[in-house]
Amino acid sequence: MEDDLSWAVRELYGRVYRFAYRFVGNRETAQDIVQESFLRLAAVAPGLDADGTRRWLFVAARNLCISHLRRDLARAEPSLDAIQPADPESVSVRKELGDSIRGAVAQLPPEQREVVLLREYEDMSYAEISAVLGCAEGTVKSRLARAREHLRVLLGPIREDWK
Amino acid sequence: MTWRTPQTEAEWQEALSAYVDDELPSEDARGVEAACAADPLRGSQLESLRATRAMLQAWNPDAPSPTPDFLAELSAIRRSSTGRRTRKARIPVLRILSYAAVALVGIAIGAVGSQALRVDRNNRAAIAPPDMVSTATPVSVDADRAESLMREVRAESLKGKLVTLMTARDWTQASNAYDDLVTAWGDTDAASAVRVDPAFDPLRQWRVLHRRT
Repeated sequence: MEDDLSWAVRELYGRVYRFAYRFVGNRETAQDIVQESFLRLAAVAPGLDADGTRRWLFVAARNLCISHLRRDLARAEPSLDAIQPADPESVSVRKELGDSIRGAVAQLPPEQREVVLLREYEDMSYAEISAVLGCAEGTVKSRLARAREHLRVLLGPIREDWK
Repeated sequence: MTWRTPQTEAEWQEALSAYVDDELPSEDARGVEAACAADPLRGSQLESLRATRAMLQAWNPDAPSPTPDFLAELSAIRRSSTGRRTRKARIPVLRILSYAAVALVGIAIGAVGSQALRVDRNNRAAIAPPDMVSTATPVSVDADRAESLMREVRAESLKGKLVTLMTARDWTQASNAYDDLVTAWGDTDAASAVRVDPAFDPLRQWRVLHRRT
């Protein structure tokens, strides 16, 4: 019979990885973060239910992402200049758009970036995000609105082409 | 709740953002819908917000599968964690002391020297002498791991102080300790545990009331 940890790896490994990658913008670091999060879960908080496991993993991954950003801000936050220009002959439109979004998200302050990632890609409610980040729901609401406004401006030029 | 038309641009952005997330009370949602239908500017903002959200969904990076080495390490921790967890639940102090004992091995690398420890300098690892560790197998700790363990010990200590302050209902000092824990030791297990443990809900509620978020 599948145990809790096997379930968590199967269902959440990829999601926590994507969260970390979207947060720090570096695949190798994201892999380190997702692995460290699961190892800590196994060592410190085994036996949680599904919701608790999910929340615990995202709290751990988020904290590790923040620690990484503090240690190596320059490497972790690529500017738009660092994004490789897409070659229209070889790169799909989807990849090009992904790079643009990655660059825009990287420009958000960490406190805005984390709420956007948890809302848009993890589909968490404001209450769930509030629990993960340890802040009030009103704070989640205002940070999310500011983040979306930034993204609207940053992605404005390509949004018209993308429609 | 009674719908109140937002007065500032920031309030409008919050209202529209919460509306697309279906996080507004029904009366407020109807207020936003009516405003967007009557005002082309607000309607355009709402459309732009939805288009931006739709764009974000196009960024779906591939995720690697867990590596065999990682899965093996996870299994090893899982096998050893059951007994350790039982001891932690009964006597948490022993958990802290066990961290401290292992971390001391890392400190001893610089303090004791080769007479007391057999140091594998190529691997930056030290093997504790048998009388320092009660288990049958030797414990290897490299410098990074020792530092990590010391962080855990310090964070556990701060977590203990936080509990004491909460018990004394000294909410201001407890809130300061919470800030220290989350800010300085946010990557530790103690900080992670505090974030998800319902026992700390009263403190979180106090912080919300006093705008300490």
